[in-house]
Amino acid sequence: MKQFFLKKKIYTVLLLLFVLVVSFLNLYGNKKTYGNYCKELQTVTNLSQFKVWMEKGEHLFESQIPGKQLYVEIYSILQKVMGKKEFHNFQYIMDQDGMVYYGSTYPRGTDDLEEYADRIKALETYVENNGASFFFCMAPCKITRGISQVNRSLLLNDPNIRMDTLLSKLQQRNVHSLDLRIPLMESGKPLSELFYFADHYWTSKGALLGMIALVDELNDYYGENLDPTLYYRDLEQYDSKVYENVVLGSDGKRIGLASCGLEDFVHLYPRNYEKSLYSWSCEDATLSRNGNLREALFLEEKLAPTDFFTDTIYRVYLDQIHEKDTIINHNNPNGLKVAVLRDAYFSPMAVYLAPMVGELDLYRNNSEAAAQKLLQSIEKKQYDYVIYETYPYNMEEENFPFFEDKIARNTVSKNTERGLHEK
Amino acid sequence: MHFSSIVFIFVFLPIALLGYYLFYFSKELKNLWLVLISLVFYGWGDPIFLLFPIGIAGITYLAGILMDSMKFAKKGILWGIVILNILLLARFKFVDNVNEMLNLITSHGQVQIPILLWPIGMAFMVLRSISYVADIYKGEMKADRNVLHLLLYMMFFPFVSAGPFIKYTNFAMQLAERKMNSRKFSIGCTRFTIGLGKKVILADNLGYVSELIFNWSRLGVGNISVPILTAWFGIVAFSLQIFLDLSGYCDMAIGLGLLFGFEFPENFDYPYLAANVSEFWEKWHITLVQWFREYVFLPLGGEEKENKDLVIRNLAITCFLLAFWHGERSTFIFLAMWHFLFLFLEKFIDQDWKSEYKWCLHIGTLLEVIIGWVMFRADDIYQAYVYLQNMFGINRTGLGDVKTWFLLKEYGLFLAVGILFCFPISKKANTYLVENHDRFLVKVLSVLYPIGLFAVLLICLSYILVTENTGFVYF
Repeated sequence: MKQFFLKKKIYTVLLLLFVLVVSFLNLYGNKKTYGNYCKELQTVTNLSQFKVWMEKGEHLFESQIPGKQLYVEIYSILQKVMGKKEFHNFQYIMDQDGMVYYGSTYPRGTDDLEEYADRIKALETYVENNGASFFFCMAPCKITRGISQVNRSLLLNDPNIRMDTLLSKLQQRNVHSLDLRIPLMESGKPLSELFYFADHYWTSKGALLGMIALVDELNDYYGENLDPTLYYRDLEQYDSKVYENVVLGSDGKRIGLASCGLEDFVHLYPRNYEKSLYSWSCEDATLSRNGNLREALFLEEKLAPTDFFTDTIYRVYLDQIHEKDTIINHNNPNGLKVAVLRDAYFSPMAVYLAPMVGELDLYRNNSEAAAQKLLQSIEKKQYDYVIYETYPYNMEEENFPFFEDKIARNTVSKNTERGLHEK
Repeated sequence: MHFSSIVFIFVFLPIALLGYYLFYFSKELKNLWLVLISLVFYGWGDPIFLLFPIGIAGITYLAGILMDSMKFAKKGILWGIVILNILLLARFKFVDNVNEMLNLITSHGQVQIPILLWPIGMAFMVLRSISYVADIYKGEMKADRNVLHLLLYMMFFPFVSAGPFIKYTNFAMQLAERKMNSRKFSIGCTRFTIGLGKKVILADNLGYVSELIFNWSRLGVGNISVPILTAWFGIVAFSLQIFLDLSGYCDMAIGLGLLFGFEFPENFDYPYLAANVSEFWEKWHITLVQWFREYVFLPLGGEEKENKDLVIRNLAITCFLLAFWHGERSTFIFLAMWHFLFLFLEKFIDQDWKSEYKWCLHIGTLLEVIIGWVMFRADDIYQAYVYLQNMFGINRTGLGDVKTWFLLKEYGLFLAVGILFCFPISKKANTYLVENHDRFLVKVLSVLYPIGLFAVLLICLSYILVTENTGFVYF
């Protein structure tokens, strides 16, 4: 009987030691953070503030738990051992090849798209009233017919119906659109070359194909003459450098290394990059760079991550996204002036598009302030083109922060200030 | 704060234990410390909630003293406390229903009762308060003159939220005479971890699947079909979830009690193995059902052998009061009717079946319970109705589809392990280990035991930190 309880006593010692050590490391290792947190108590004046303060403390302790990534890995190993293909209660679903998709347990409706289409139409009208051309650019996603072999009957978050619906609504309103699913489908490239396994972003090659389609559209539909030698639209003219095992995608960070593993980053850049001069600046992060294409537009230092769980390789393109970025191509001062209201999906496309245009202004599409800046700039800067780009999963209210329904459905005044979010 | 939260495990519990054992020299100081940390536990989410246990404890304390000191009006005080507690319960649980009625009457909803958040463990506090004064009324005990003891009884953090229910006489005895030793402490630690594992690893995962499938049968999501097998998978998952969640909570509560020297009664005795509905209710949430038996069913007359009509009436009242205690949802009334129907039938049907056919009774009971859980889980009658139709193929949704197999593949293991917990395997394994402690295999298992349990703890923490941490079914 003594022996029977001995094992429980050993476990008790283990448990107590573990709990005390973790608590101590958490509190001691973050004493400054907790010190500041405790100081906040002095500013608490009523019960509701006290509740918020307590809640914050709970979250703080949980977020600072030492070795948090270890627990993600335990979860990941467990999922792998159990042969599970869904993660985080169907937030992610992995196919047989290890490609991670967004999961969903309820079909998403399309009712909200009518409103977004109206807003885009209003934006188009406004842009055209200011002498520029406008088109809508639908970024692709992993679940694309002809590329992805995933079983669509699984609990996948398939945005294709929403994408098709929005495009059709825009067509009804005579808004020109570019569907970037098509060039990817026509490329014949496998999904693994176009998208990261454990990230929703596309690879350099995917983005390059997107850029080619965009330039083709500007030439064929709008009659521009960009890249007449087809240099930048020829994949053969790009050097590639493979950085092995450096990518742990944003989905992989949550699912864990054990299930996702590390991926390679294939860095593609035009061969003639040395002869070029660009400058890139962003307003909010106060970053700016000058130099040739690689020096100015690729943040190649991001390709040597020190911590896979916190570093984001995608930041190699213009540091991912800011409120507003500006790229100036000093080699082409008379080139097109293009403004893009975009999400992070457009960052690599912007980099690859830069050699063919004169100036690119990139505005974040889920920011009211950025949208306002864009509308003001449209009046002042005389853009040649304004493009609205969105990633399919970003087709949400916050990504259309311009011309709310009342204004959009009536007349879009030249004086746009009133049109901006009359809340 | 609940037992499966990081703050509870790494902050609250160590502080509670350290403080408690610092006062090893004085039982009263230890009890005072327990009151203080229980107040912190209870007031964690919203300190305003502390008014309720303090208020109930104060009123119950005064009622007890009055009953003790007065020779008359005892019954009046008892009824006063009962009505007060029922009103309190109704104030929180039925405010929505009353507001709906007021809406209908006043047509514009000018008169509305403010909706208040439900204080954790309120329903159990009501039971403790009533049992305390009822026991004094029955002469089973004297009123406790120490108000802190009663406050601790109302809100002792291991059992404040969902039991197990313990009578005051038992609790008071343990307050005065509990003894602590390393064996008790180590059993407490292991029991807490096992309960945490049942809750976090099994109940939460199964709960997610059942929630998913039930939501597919909700009003407004008619475009999602739920085939027969999916519906059954969902309800079996819920049946396991509610069992593992509640029994996991009770394991943790019993374990925590042991860490502070208290011994709480067991609350579950493999209920899904019951051979009839009466037996199920003897094995399910035992202390709660015993409360209703002792303080409702028996005072009404109980099992009067001569008059079966009275027994049935008493049974019906008890069933409906149990439903009322659980909450305001109309589905609870249907659940009460459903169980009452079978309890009623069992009074008249001879169940003395030959042993080789006993399995039919077990399966029949299990089916009755599982179908009953549809009414417990559904948010409203519509959802319960649609769900039951799905289960029996009335909605013509087919036997299964790709989703069914996908869900089964992804969550089948949790289901299988959950089912294992419905059988007394660990009980038998323990007996085997004790009886065969000299065997090599047993020695190996003894070495692996702490490692395995520690692994369970790490897995629980990973689930808590990685996935969304959900509360308990009964909170």
